[in-house]
Amino acid sequence: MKTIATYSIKGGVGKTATAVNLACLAAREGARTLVWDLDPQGAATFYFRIKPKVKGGAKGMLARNGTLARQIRGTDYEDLDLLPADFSYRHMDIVLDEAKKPTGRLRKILKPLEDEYDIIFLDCPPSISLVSEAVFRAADALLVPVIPTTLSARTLEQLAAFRLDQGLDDLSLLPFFSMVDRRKSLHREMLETLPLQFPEVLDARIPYASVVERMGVQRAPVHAYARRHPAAQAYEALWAEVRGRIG
Amino acid sequence: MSTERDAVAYRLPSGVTTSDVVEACRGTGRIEGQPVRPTRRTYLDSFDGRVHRAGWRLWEEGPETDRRTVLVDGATGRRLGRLDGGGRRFGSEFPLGAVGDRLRGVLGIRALLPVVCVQGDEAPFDVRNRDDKRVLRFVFETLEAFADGAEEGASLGVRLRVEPVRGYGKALRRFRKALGRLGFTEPLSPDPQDAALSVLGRAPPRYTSKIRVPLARGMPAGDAVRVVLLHLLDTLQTNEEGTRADLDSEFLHDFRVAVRRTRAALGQLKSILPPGPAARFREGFAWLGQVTGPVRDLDVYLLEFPTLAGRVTHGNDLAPLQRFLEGKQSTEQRRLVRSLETRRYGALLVSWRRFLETTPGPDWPESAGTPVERVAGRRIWRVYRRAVNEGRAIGPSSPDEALHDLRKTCKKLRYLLEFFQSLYLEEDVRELVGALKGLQDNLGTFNDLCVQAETLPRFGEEMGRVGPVPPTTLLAMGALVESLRHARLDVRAEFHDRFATFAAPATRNRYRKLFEAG
Repeated sequence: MKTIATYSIKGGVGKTATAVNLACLAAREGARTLVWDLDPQGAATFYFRIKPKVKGGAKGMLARNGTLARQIRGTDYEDLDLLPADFSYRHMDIVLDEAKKPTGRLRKILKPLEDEYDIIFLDCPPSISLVSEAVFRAADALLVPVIPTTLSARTLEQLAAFRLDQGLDDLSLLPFFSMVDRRKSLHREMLETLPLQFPEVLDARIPYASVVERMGVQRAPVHAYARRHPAAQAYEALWAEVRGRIG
Repeated sequence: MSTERDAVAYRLPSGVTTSDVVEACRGTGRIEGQPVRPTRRTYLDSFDGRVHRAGWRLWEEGPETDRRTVLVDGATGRRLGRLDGGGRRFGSEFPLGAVGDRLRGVLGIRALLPVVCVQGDEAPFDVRNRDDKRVLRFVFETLEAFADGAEEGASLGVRLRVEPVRGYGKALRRFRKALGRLGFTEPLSPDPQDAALSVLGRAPPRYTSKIRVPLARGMPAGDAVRVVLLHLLDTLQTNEEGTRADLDSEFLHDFRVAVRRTRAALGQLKSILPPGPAARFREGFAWLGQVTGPVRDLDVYLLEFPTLAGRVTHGNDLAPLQRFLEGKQSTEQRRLVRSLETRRYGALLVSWRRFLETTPGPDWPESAGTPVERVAGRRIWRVYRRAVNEGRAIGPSSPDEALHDLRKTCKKLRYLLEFFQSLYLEEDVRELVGALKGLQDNLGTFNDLCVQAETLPRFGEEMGRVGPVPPTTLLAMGALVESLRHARLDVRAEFHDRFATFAAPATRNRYRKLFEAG
C-alpha cells in the first residue's frame, strides 16, 4: 500500500483537484484507491457528492480501534472510496495533541487498511501544523502543487528544510507545477528556473483551466466529464510520473 | 455470511418480473437505468481446481483488443485484483501484484485451463440520492453457460445481482425489505461460476492424484486388487488428454505415477493374480513406462533448470543447453503422442479394463480368495524387512547402485502402504509414510543428482553433433557436473541418519504390530 499526500502550505493551488483526479486515474488502472479528505472545508467530499459527516467526528476517527473503517464510503467510481471530511476536523490538531505519540497516529490508524487498498490519497488542509506533521509521517510521498511564482520557491525551501530537519528520509518530495498560465512571463520564467534549484520538480505540469474549476459544478473528477481536455491529459501525465516515482 | 458491503445475487422468484423489482424499490431513491451491456467471460482454473479450492474465482473477459483478467473472492464476490490483458496460463506469466502473487501461491507448475464460459447481458440500474450520488446498484443478469468450445449453452435464468455502495447501508436495507416483500429469499453466491457449472451438470474441478480407495477387511484380495488397479486406470485415463496436449508437466507426471503404481501392484501381488495375464500386462505397462520416460526426464530438467543454473557462477552461459533441452522435449513429446495413438496403447487399456472388470475365474489362483488384509500385511512386512536389510548393507564404500536399488524397494513399500491404507487407522499409516518419506527424499535427491551428472556430458556430446557449442557453455556445464558431484557427496552423507530413523526399533515395531500377522 502506498500513501500519497497532496500538500501545500497555501490554499487554492490545486491540492484537492489533484488528489481527486489522480485517485480517479489510479482506480481506473485497477488499483484499489481511498481518498481521505482531511480538510474541514470538505472540497474533495463535495466533488464526490458525499455528505461531509463522520460519526464520532475527528476524535472517533483518530482513536485507536476507532471508527475509521466504518466511515468509508464508496464513490460512484469503481475501486475508488472516500473517507469524508467533517467540520470537526478543524480541531484535529487538538485531538492529535491529546494522543500518545501524535505524529505517528495517522500512520497507525491507516495501517489496518493495507489489505484493502493499494493506494491512499490524503488531501491535506492548507497549513503547517501537527496534522501536517502526522501526514508527513504517514505518507510515502508528498505531492506538492506549486504555482510558478517567486514565493513558491521560498515555500519549497521551507518544506525541504523541514523534511531534512525531521529526518524524513523515506518521504519523497514531489513538487509539480500547478495552475500554470503560460501567458504570464513570471510563470514562464519560473518554469525554467525553479527546476534548476529543485531538480526533484516533476516534468508534468497542470495548466490553469476552467474545466478543472468546473469540478465544483460537475461534482465529478475531470475525467468523468472532459476526458479529452488537455488538462485531463496533463493529470494523466502527472499520474504516470508519480506512479513511476513511488514504485 | 455476507456483510453490507458484499454483492449478492438472487434468482427471480417465479412470477416476478424485472419491472416488478424496479417498481418495488422506487422508495429507495431515484432509479436510473443504465445501458444494457453484454458480458462474456471465461473462467479459468487448474485441472485440479486449485483456484476454486482457495476460495477464489478467476476469469478473462472482454474483446481481444481489450482483454482483462479478474480475480474475485468466491463467497463475497469482492474483487481481489484486476489485470489488463489475458492469455496467461502459468503463475510465472503473471506480474507481481494482487492477482499474480495469489495465483503463484496456489498453482505451482500447473496450467490454467478454461473451465466454463458465461455469456449474456447485464441491465444495470443505479439508485441515487438527492445529491445525485449512487447509493446502490442492482443488475439484472441474463446469462448462459457454455462448456469450453461448445455451441449450445444452458440458461442460468434471470438473476438479480445487488451491489451495495460502501457506507450506504440504509439504502441497502430498504432495498432488501422491498425484495423481501416480492418474495425474494435465499441469496446465491454473487459469482455465477458455480451456478454455470451446476446448470451444465458439472462440478467444480476436484481432481486429486492421491489414492483414496476404500477397501474393507475380509474382502477377497483378488477383488481388492482389482478395485485399486481400476482406480489407477481411471487416473491414468483422466490424465491422458492433458498429457497428449502437454498442457502442463503434471499431467504426464500423474500419468506415469499411475503406470508405476500399476506395475508395482502387478509385481508385488503376483501371487494372487493369474500368471498369464499378469505377465502380459506387466510387459504392456513396462512399455508404457518406457515410452513416457524421455519426456518426463526432460520436463524435470527444464523445471529444475533455474536451480541448476544457480549452481554455477555463470548460469547464463547455460542458455544454449536450455534451448537444446527444450528442442529435445518437443521432439520427444511428439514421439510420445504417436505412441499414445498406436493400436498397441489402445488395446492395452481396453483389455486391461476388461480384465479388471471381470469377476475372477478359474484361471485365478486360490490365494485370490484370501482376505485382503492378510495379503497386504504379509507383503508390506516383507518389503519393509527387505528395505531394512538392503539399507543396513549400505556402507560408505557401497556402490551408488545399492542406493538406487533401495530407492526402488522403498517406492514399492510406499505404494503398498498407499494401496491398502484404508484397511488401517489413518494416523498409523500417516506416521509410517512420514518416516518413509524422509528416507525416500534423500534417495530421490541422490538419484536425481547421479542422473544429472551422467546425462550432462551426454547432452554436451549431442549438442556438439548438431553444431558448435560455445566454449563458455561447455565450461559452465563442466562446472555444473563438478557442483553436482559435490552435492551428491553431501546427500550421500545424510543417508545414514535418514535410514536410521526409518529402521529404528520403534518404527520396526510399528510395522510389525500392524502388518506381520496380516
